[in-house]
Amino acid sequence: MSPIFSDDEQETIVELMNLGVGRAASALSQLVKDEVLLSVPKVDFVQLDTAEDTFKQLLPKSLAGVTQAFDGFISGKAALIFPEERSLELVRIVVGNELSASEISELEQDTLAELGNILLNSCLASLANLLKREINTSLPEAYSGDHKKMLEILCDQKDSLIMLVQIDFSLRQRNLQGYLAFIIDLRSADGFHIALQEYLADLLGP
Amino acid sequence: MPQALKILLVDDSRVARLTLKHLIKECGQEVEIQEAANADEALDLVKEHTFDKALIDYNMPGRDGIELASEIQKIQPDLALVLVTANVQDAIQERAAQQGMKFLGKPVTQEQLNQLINS
Repeated sequence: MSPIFSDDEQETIVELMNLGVGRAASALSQLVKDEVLLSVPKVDFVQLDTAEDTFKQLLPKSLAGVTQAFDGFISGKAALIFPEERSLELVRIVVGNELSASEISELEQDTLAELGNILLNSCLASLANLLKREINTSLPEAYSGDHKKMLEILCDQKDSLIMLVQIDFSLRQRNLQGYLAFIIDLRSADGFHIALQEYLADLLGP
Repeated sequence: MPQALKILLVDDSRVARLTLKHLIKECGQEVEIQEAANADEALDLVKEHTFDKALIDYNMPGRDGIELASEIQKIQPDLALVLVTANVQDAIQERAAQQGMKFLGKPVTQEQLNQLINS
């Protein structure tokens, strides 16, 4: 059990992320015209150095993707992550085959940013709606690099205790796997506690 | 011959504008589309041209789509405004409605666009 959240709260976080990612998967499925398979969200409470080890074990070495910062009743950063060598293929799936290779390449960053914008916002908005709270999201930023660079982008405060919510997804008809990660800064966890407690109280009734 | 429907697309993402343009052209109506990548560009266009509908992203550099809508309404009060965003939070949808905007969640489907363009 996490020392920060009770078992009930942690289970609620997993379920809420499940619902949020389900909505994001539906959006992705519509964009790529393929079924999206999802893993059960995995929630870990880790220090930054542990997060780096976790990312090293789970993710390919070269990564591409999109990050989006958010704040409100919770603050942190969300990331959509793909193996870098599959990035152009993903862009081609989204924008279609009519464009030339140079046009696809020219649109790569913009397409990844818009894809991340849709998926990450779908998930965060769903979480905010379920908890009856509001989250502000920044503009999406495309990036590429290794785990270390990605973690530097995701965690700008070295002393942060972070909640890492990791979901693997894949496309049924294509051998393409990706990851969603939500890094939530737990130094301001009070608002999250209250929102979770209210949500649970609503579920359990008077 | 019916006049072409004049549409303004405002989104900082070129891909998002390309996607919307593609869907709008599939709606079967004669359309004239102009694009803006931010609020300032959009306001310049609204000062110079009359539009029937404006599809506006929410999350853009500078001003968000609802702030932009408020400025557009001072120039063209009758222009039909639609907020098009992946940020489908209830709070954003309520603010859009208060501003007199319709709301479409991204990704937008062809059916949603057909309804919007042909209404």
